Amino acid sequence: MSGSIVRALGWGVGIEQQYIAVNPAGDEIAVYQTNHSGQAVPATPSDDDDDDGIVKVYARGGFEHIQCATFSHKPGILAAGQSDGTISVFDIRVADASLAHLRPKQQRPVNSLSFNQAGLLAVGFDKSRHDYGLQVWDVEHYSSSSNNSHINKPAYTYISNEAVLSTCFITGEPTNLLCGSYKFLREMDLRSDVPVFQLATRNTLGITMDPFVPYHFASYAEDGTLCIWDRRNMGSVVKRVQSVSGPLGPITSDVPALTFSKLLADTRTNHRSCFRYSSVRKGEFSTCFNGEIVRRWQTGVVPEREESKGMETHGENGIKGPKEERPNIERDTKEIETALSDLDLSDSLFVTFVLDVKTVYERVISFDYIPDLVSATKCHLVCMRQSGSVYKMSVLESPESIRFNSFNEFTVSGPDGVFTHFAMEAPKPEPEEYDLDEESDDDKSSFKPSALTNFLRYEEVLLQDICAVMRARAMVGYSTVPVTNVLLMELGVLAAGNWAMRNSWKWLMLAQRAADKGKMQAEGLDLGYEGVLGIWSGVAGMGNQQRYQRGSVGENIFVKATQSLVASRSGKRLPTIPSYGNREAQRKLCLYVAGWDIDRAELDEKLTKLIGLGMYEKAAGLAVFHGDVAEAVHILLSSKKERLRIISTAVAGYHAYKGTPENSPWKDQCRRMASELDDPYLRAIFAFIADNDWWDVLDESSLPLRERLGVALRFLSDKDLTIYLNRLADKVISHGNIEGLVLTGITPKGIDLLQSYVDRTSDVQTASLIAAFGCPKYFQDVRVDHWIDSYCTLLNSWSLFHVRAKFNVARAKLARDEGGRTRAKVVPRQLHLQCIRCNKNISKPALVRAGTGLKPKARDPNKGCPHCGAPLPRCAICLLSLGMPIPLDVTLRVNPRQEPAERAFKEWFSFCLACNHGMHAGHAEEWFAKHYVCPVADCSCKCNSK
Amino acid sequence: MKELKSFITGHEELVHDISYDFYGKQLATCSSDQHIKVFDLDAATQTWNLNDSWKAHDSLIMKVAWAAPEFGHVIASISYDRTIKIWEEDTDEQPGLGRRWKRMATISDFRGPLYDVAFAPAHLGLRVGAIGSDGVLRVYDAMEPSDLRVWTLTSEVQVLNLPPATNLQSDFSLTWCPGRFSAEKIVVCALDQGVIYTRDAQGRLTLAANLPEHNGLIRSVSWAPSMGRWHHLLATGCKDGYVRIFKLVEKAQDVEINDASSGESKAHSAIEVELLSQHDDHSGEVWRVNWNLTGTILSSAGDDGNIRLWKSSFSNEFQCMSVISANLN
Repeated sequence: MSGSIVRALGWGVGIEQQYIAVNPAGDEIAVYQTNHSGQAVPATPSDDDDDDGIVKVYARGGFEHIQCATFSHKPGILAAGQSDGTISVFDIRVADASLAHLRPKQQRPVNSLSFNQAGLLAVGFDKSRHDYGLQVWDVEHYSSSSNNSHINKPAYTYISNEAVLSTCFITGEPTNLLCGSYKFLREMDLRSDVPVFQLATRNTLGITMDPFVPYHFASYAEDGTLCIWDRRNMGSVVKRVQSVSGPLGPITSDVPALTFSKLLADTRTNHRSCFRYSSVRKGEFSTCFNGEIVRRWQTGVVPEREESKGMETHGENGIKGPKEERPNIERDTKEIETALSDLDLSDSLFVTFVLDVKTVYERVISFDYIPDLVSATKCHLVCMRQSGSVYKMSVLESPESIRFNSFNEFTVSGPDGVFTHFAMEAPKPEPEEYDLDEESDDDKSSFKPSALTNFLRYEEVLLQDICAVMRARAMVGYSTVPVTNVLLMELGVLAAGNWAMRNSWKWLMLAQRAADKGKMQAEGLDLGYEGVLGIWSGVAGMGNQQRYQRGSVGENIFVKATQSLVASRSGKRLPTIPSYGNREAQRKLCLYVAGWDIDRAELDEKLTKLIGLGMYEKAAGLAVFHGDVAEAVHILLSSKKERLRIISTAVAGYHAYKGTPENSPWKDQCRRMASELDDPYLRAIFAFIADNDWWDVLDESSLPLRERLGVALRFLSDKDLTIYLNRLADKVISHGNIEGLVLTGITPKGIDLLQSYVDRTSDVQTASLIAAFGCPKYFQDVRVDHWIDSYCTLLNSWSLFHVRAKFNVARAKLARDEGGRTRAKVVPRQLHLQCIRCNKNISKPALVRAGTGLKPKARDPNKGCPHCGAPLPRCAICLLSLGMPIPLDVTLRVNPRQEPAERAFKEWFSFCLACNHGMHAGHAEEWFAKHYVCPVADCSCKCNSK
Repeated sequence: MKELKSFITGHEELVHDISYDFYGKQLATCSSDQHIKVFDLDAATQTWNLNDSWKAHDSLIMKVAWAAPEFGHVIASISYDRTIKIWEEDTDEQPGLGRRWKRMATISDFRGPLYDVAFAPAHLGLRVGAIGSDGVLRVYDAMEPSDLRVWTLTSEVQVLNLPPATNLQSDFSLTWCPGRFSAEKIVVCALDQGVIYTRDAQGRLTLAANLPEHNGLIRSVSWAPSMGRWHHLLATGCKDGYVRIFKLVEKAQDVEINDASSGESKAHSAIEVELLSQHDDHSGEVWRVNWNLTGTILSSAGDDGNIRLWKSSFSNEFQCMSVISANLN
């Protein structure tokens, strides 16, 4: 035996559990008790991994090599079997309690002990020729104070001349016990001399009953093979082999429910192993390996099939039809069917999963389970080490399941219980955590994965996730109306800090204003929501879009259209641009589209505004971008910051060195400043004044895209502009920079951009809202359908049905072409009213049949079928035909404030689709406010709860 | 700071699965104690109130799944008792009496204990698939979604050639591709194999791709909702200790494959599987992985008892953003 610890089921004191331990030397037996008093609930798992978690409460020494020990169901009563054959029964809770010594006729080691509820103690002895191997003693009347001389001989004896290696009473059946000798596993009934069954097997050691399933027990063999047996099948299912008869009757050859070959260490060697059924979780047992790992085996039961019980069908609900009726499906599962035919016979046990628990301290020789105080499914372990020290450890276990809902809330289930994370009551549209200078791809070092050593709080992660952000945005009114969106963003309730999004909605606002006023339509060509690139590329940029009413767009039409569009706007004096001829109009239109159609007065106004806001750098930058370096110097000088005033003097050098082609220290200094300064506007100013070259400004990726676009449109030559625009477009598309919409417009290229935006951010909301401006009005794209579908599904799952409906309505409106027809596919009507007499659709007007000259009878379409004139069904409440106005209750004055629409709704038809009874909607509302059942007599339909 | 809110399910044994309905208003739980429970959300107090609890199977119930809302309040459950059962809420019955959820069908074609069940996305109709230790994926359709009592076996695919031994642990899982803008796809994991099937022109499920690199039982698989993204994301949790995130790109091949039997030519689409990253942060087995509804947060649970939340960074690398501690109490 040399050291073991076992949970004494039923010995618990309050919340504390007790454990029987025999020390490795075999001379002391002790009771350990868990100690939860320090902390009601352990705060962290490591807290109770110390020795305080379990304490020794009783001990009794002075034994000589304890071979085995067991506990009675009476708390305190223990039995210890020693190698000299003496079994000591005593009450450990009473100090100096008298020992009742049970001795066999012949002195030999005690192999196994087991108590039953009735106070009988089964003892398995080693082999002796003149004595029985299995003896049952009645120790019910043990007394801790007398000398217990009344317990002097066994009550029952069985199996002579054979060693009994292990024995165990069957839980719940005090008269039956299992015992194993070298070759046989037997079940004995105390009322009979013949075993219930005897089975030839070598798996006869360490018989243990499953504490949850009374018919399962485990045993192992000398070589470490472990078997789980099902007692119900023993000796009955498998036929008895009559010819082979053992010493006590016929021998059966049942097979175990589960066999694990050499799972435990070989008992003939010195390796120790330990087997325990879990007293916490049903179907679990554990084994200990090398003193370091406790392996927890979980088993499941496949119950007996209903067919094999003689029930052929599954009642009315089963799958109907034999296999022949399903010839269209592949059936190549023959092998598996034969392989599994055994499985079908009866309930079968199988291993579901295995959990490994590393012990805190090594060299564990014995262990048992400790239930958790809070959760019934969680467990701890008590371990005994080779040295005899005992400690308690927590068992970490993975949660079983985590599920999210569409609110980014989640629920976890696991051994600890079930927990839900609920999101905040009112989520706020938090700024997204994505960098704004997303174009600076050389700047990735700032976002190293390894740099994240401190984790965020999970609430934050969930709240900042696009799932929560989109919902919050939808709830504050993020919609297809650019004006409101921009307003919301300026108020800071929507996408605060997300400048890219704000700029693109601002552009959309301008684009919508222009499109609504017809400023983007001429000569039958509609350039609404086109981007700078599309307009600059001309006809080539219009590919695959329905922007022209009369066939395909020709070059001349495009030129004419741009010219007339520019002419219609020529109110302002735009700065001179390096373009002539056809290209001039195109470039001007580009300036309009980009929102840079400002004249000098407007620029000054804007600069004053920026200065007023203290944004001197930006104002100076804008001045330079409009070619006015002098103004920039002036602005910087007017600043209160000393640094800026100093910078202004440096910038003022521009005029002095402008014409000189050779390098000068001033130019070098400017170049250095252009790479060193923090502010992007100042960097751009120096980059420009150093070499008088706009490309340096255009490559400054931290400047807002629109401003760079303005510079390019104002100063680059036609050829350079084409190159620059294409290069920029490729970049914004591949980066999914939503600001780039001003460049691509709502065109197929814009959809490419939005797609990479969606790939990166999963923000289908913004993508759907923006794409609705161009798709399906100008073009079709399955990707847009995909986003809109995803977005609508999300809105539905948030129960924001109104938002979804409004979005669909807005989408259909945006898709209207010049003729007012919508190009969006409108969901068809899903219900039609059919006349009960002529079976025609009531909502369709009657057709005038050509040739007959017969005019349909002029009728009020609300009162009867327009085809045959049959009256509509009657309202079940007022018994008038539906469609008739509801008679006014004379006692009630018509509420003058009642909306006409509301009144009309009250008179509208309302049908129950289950019982087909109809009434006025207003009457239905009144009726079902008080009733569940249909108002029609004898109809028991619960119309309103369908 | 808002903590995780514990609620007492009243299950007597371990709760193996939980499942939200589409609107997040109901929660179904299943347990070793052979019972299913459904809870209704009380939004005002943020508590779950028991809708009903009933004994649903004759063995441990491993999974519950909700059907799409267009089919009503319908759940499917699978158990080690080899059956799929379909349940529908009967709103006429009083809650809490064990009668509110009516068993509409019992599907018992399986030869071994079942491990996972999933409903197909709604655009494919009312379709349910399950896999268990007989190694056969079976897919059933309710041809008439208004009649939940009749389910027709429409596909049967042998994923494993031999059933696993009963004294070894095994694991199976499956999930459908939730996107509706590409052909039907389903990923099935059986032991250490992850296989993606697509439906071909003849309506059969055919092998499309394998999930590489697994060195142990695949415990769990989750297909991220595509949310309009061009690529698919898929995650697995494996006994070998890794959370793996795969990126799937469908390549529409221009090569037209002529089908001899029908004479039709159909464009064949291939799936390219790329392992984006693998993480062994759980320092032990990974048991569960699950995406959130936008496919932007991946949760994983492992032997360390922790839940980790993974999120893609700007440079498209997944990294652990948050750890929810083991000791939920």
